[in-house]
Amino acid sequence: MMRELVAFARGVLTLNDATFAAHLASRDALKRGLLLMVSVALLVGLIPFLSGMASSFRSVDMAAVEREAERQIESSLQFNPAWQNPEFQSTFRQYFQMGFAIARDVMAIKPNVSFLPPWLERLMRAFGEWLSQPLAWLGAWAGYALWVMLFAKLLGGRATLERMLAATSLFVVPHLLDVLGSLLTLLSGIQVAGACFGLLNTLIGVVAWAWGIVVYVKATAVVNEFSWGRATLVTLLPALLVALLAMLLAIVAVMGIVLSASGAQ
Amino acid sequence: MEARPNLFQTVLGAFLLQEDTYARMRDDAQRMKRALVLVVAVGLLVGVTGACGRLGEWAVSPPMDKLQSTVLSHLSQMPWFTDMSRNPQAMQMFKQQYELGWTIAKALVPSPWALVGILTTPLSLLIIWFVYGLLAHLSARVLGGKGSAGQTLACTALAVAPQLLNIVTVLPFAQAAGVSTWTLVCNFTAVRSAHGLRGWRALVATVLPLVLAILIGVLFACLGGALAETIIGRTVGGAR
Repeated sequence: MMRELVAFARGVLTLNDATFAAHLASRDALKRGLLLMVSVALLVGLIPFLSGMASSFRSVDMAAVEREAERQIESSLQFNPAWQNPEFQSTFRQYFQMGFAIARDVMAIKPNVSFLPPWLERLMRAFGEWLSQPLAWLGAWAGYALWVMLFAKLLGGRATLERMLAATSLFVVPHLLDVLGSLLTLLSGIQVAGACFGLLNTLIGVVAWAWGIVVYVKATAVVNEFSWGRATLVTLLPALLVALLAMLLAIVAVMGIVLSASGAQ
Repeated sequence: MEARPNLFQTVLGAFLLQEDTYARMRDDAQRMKRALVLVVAVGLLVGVTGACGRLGEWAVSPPMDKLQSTVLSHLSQMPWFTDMSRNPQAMQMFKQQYELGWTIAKALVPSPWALVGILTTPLSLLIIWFVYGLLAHLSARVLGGKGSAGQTLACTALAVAPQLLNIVTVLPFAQAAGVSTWTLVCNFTAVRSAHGLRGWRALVATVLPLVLAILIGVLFACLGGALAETIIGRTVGGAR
């Protein structure tokens, strides 16, 4: 079983035609794809969840948080040329302390069911966020796959909805690398070496993301009987259109602001 | 004779877009009864789990009234508040806005009222299923579909299957995403199966009721917005 899984993952990662064809020929292709997505998402979120779970039992030391925030703000006030006005600095400090006083008092409020320990909320939040991750992946993937399928159909693609979803679900396999990335996140607290681990983590994230796109394009090509070029086009088209739409909206918003400002003058 | 799949197998098959699950529902002699049971059962399950989760969130969250008074007591110590309190009109405006903000926040955060969801969830699922099913039937027939209204309703009932993703909300602070997208996919499969439509026709028949619903929603939102503006305008005007 384990050997089969490893062979399957290797086939997907190396863009092996036979692996993609065998996956699509299976009656349970969609079920397998969904299980794969849920498993990878849970694995990727496991380390952050365990870390969040461990820290949820520690009570929040507000004094330490305040000291750290004060230290950072003081260095910003010293070195940021825009913040050198003494009056501004004094007002800023005053409001900062008032803000922290609010946070301190809010943190001290007991929950609605007052006998519940304060760590329970943090623990439940960590657990809830971890289990929500696979569904967030599923939602984003399904939504995007529908648009890709629409463009694929317009360009003569031959995929059915079920086969398209089953094929593109394989894009999660390279994201197994993110598990390694989340392990490295734990080490990022170490002085100096932590920065290197942080950089490595970013690099792993970029590689997993790019590899995921390549697998997506391959899956789209296989299931629609497309060439690489056409598959790349239909995979990227929805993202490009969203970017274009966002750009157009931004331009319209900027024009609106400029026009209203000139009108006000 | 092949054994009829149980409710769980039917829901799982519908979620995984298995053609035979939709075909079996379409051809079932007791399809309307089965569809009704399916929608109510899923609705109740999702309603109960969701209510449990929201209740759990409420239990571990701080009381909103206490939050409101704590924040206000701090704000009232700030220099700008002292300046503002010299102007009764500005003070009145602030109180109104502050109350309004917290009223909205209280409506959004979990409360014991979440238990009402046990009843409203199955009820809303039933209404949405029935209205969508009928509209989808009409659009499918216009586009050349062959299915009956009963067959369309029976098949579209299977599109409640993705609602089961909401079961995750039994855990406080967990959120289900992708439910609407997957419901759309299941509805497409349902309309295709019930009417024997292919490709673009099935897609249009599936999406048309949603487009109509969005248009009606936008219309109501505009009317509601205009009404709210009038009411707020009168309230603020009256306060002045």
